Amino acid sequence: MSNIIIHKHAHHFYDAEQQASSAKLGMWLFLVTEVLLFSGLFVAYTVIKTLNPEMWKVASEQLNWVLGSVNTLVLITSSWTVALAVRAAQTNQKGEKNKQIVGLLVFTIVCAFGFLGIKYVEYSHKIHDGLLWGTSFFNHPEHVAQINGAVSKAFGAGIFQVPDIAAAMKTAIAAAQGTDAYAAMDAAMHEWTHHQELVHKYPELAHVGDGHLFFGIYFLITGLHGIHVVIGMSVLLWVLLGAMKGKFYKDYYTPVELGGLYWHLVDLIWIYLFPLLYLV
Amino acid sequence: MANTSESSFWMPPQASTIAKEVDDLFDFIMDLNYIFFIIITVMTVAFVVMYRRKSDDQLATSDFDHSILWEGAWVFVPLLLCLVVFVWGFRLFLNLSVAPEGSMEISVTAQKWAWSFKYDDGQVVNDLYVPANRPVKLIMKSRDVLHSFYVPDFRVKSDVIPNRYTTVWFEALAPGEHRIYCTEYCGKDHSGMYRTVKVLSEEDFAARKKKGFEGRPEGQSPAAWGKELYSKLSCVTCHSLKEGERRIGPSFWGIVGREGETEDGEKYIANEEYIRESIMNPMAKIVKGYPKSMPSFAGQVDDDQMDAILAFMKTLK
Amino acid sequence: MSETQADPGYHVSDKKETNYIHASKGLLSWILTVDHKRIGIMYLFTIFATFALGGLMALLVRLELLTPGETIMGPETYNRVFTLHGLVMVFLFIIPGIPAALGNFVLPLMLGAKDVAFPKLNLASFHIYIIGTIMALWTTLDGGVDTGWTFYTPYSSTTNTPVIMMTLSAFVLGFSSIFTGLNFIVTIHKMRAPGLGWERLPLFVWAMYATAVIQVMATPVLGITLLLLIMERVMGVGIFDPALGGDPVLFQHFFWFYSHPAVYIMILPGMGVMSELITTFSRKRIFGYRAIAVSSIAIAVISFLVWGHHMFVSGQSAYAGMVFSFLTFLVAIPSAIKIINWSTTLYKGSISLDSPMLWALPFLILFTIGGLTGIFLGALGTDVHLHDTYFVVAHFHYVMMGGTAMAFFGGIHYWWPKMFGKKYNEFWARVSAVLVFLGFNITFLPQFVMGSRGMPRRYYDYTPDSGYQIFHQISTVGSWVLLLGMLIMLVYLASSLRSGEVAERNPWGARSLEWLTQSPPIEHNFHEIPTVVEGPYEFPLAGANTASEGMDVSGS
Repeated sequence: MSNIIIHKHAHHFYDAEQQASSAKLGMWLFLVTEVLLFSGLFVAYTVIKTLNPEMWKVASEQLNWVLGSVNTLVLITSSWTVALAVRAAQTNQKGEKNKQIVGLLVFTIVCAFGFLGIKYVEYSHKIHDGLLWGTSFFNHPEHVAQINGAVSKAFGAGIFQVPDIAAAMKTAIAAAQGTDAYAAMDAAMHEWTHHQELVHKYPELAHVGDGHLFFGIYFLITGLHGIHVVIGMSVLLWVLLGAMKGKFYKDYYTPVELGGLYWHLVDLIWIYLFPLLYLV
Repeated sequence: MANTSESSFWMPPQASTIAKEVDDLFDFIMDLNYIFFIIITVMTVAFVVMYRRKSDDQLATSDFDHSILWEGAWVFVPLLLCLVVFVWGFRLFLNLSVAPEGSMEISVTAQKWAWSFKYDDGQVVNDLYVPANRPVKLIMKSRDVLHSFYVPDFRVKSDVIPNRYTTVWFEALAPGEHRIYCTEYCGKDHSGMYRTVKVLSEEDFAARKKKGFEGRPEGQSPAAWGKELYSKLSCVTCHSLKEGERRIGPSFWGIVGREGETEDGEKYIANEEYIRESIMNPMAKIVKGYPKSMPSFAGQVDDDQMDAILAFMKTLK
Repeated sequence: MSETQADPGYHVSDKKETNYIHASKGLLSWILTVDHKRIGIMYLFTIFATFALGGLMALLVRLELLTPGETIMGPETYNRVFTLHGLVMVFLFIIPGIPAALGNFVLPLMLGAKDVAFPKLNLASFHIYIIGTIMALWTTLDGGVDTGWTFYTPYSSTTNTPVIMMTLSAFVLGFSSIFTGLNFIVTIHKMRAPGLGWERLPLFVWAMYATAVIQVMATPVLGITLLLLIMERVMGVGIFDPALGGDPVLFQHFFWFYSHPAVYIMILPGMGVMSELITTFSRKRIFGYRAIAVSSIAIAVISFLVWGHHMFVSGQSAYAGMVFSFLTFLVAIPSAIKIINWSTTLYKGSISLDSPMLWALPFLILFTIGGLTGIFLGALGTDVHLHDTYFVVAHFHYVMMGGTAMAFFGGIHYWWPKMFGKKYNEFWARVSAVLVFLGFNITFLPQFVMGSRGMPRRYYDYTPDSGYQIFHQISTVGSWVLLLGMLIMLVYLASSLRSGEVAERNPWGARSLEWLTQSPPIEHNFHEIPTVVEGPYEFPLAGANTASEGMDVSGS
């Protein structure tokens, strides 16, 4: 048999081959659990989308599909490079191709950073624009009621009571310069102005009334996925450290293989959620 | 007209038209239970007795370890019986779920921890008044968490959900009173949330409905009626009558005219208007140091009842 | 036919090598052990403790229900006590239960392996379990959770009790369960001794395998459900909040998608133990080996399809109810097969009433009652009346306690001599078994009647005129008999550890591989890995000329 593995193995295994194949089976089982974890969110997505089709259509248009596509390419590339790293380890005579393995792993991790960077850009944009979950959604009735409450309290009249509330607020605030009430008025007016900007920026969303359920799901799924990207990166980093020490070669490359498997899963989950969120 | 039956060992009285159907299926399944329980128990006990190990080296006297016939029988017979029970149960369920055409509709609201029932003429009461021998359909929703409407004597039950309507229907067989239980855990007073179905004869029902089922009883003072409402509407769960005793909410002792501060720092005096607002829109002013837990009673307390409650509160000093 | 192949020089060692208990000393050597046997023992002690805690909660519940009105506590305390009873019993006792305490110890031995596939992961499972337990107990310091173990929304997303900490603890405990399951699946696939093919595996192994499959596939769904509940509370996402356009019933679907398969995580290991006990204590091959093995897998698969039978009156459609009811009846059949096969195994056996059997035989009867009463609940028309009443409480206690707990105690007694090398007092063991059996029935039989007469569950109180009091009183007295039986067990088991008689290698005359090892086994289990040439349970028949016990080489 040409693939007798002569690597050292743990005492409870008969040989290194049993150890390696056990590890692989174990990892596949773990990947199954990850798929089932995400499946709950996909089911939630389906159910809530079915109950709120217009919200879905309008809200998903707010996602930047260009950035999403770039992220998809980044992840697919990183999956390719990690697969190459596994191949390199698999064909490595002890000590030979370490630089290649290291380089490919580094590139994979850099891609992961890139992915997270783009996600950061997307997230901060959404957060700034109040495209969030629950009542923090910029046009959610309760959010609007909160703003109205703050304005009423500061200015004595609500945003729905006065025809041109913006002008009224401006006058009042100018008059209140230097008084105790100024700070509260200023804050309230800021909130109101920001809200108005968003209403003008996202007229369809404002028209539909709310997008909070969509964005709730969006942040939950991409957030959980992002956590797994970080976990995957940590795993690959640990494998990278081993690669730098020249540990992996044709008779022992299990950590590279398992790390790669995990990374492929992370990629696969994104490939499902990208069209569901961005291209729907 | 069929009378309600006496309760049996397993079941409460059959007080609705569908109760007998439910009990028939129950009895059939119970018979199956007895039969199979006896078979297994007798088999086990008999084998243990007959083949009891009497000496340390006694071995088994048969290595009988498979039989397509025996196993097959134990697959097919239970399967068949299960299918019978399944079909029977499903058809019964459809009967339980689909109210007959022309049922009288009453709307039901559940909240922590009270039921209220609203009739087509707008009156709202706290026990369920229905005529005998007429199908009644309840259209139910919750104001807060999940509850469940259950009348054991009628064999009907359905969860009551916020923001959605669920229904239950029944036809009571004869005048009488039957317990309503809440059967979905809903917090502190889940077990205290029971009320009564009051089945009245057709004439009684019409007469009392016209007068108002739960108007102030003849001869009772507003304050005394208010005291009854204090229990019926579950105020008692959160508000004590003892001076200074705090439950979830403030005590009612000395409440009328009491001064205090809301959590926003506003000062208030608990006059009639304040008390009325607290009952109808409790979130408007939360007393400092107390939680935001009180449910609204808007639509459940009419003007007469409100006057009675205020009259009662004025006696608490 | 019943001889193991003899390697020259293969023998069951008589030399008393240091066993796993004495192999190394000190607390750290236990806390950091990777020996599956030590891990199993640590789980065993912890699980006894959590069972005691859950049991204490039950005793308090029953005490409160002795009389109408307040007996020993107010409603808010009561709600926390019954919630803790459920959470502790489900997540800290019965789900880890047999797999962690018995499976960890026995499985590698039964497979002729030196350890599980991933010993370090096994240790991690244990420590994660401990962390989850501490987190759960922490909530009691914080006032305790009052949602019921099922956490239904919107109550659980709005109540002011430490729901987040408790759900996080369940989330953490889920990892322990998943890792154990994963470990067992790989161990069973990859680490069987030579000659130990799938059709020669003891049925305990088949049961552990089916359980592990469910653990791996169902638990992550619980994980995401709990995460969503936490997000609901912390961030107000709103998918379960009707005011924000969400659906509270969706939570129930998510929750029961895990929790129904979870009840099979609870019962399948018990069924595995049953197969071992029935065969050993009738000295007879199991009747219908293949049927029992396949039925375990069938139960694992079908269990994922029936969750909606917890929700027949939740507002879900009649169509959904129909589908779930039908599938529920299907899942009953494999369990029925097992019961009849175990009973049939007794036929013409040589039946001993040693204490482990005094747990197995009641299982047969009590699980039958539990399973049969499930039919009332699977049938739509009767479930409407019985849902959320004490009938359901009685049903699940019959299967979980009359079933799994009995099997758990039976397994503990059975493998006790192997685990500790000591015997326990047989007389008191029998007394305990009888008391527990009696106490159990006195506690739970009346609850069937109460339930069908309309007494709802999770009720702090009932009125004097409702007619339920007598049933509550009988039930409470039953709980005291149960307590007595358990206390007796605690005493004689502790005494066994301290000063029990030394146990032989194979005191019960069983035939699976674990009985080839010393009692207690050496650290690496086997001096030499045996090669298996026969099926499980190849007990000799009367009149056959091999008088060997266990899988010994004749003439050794």
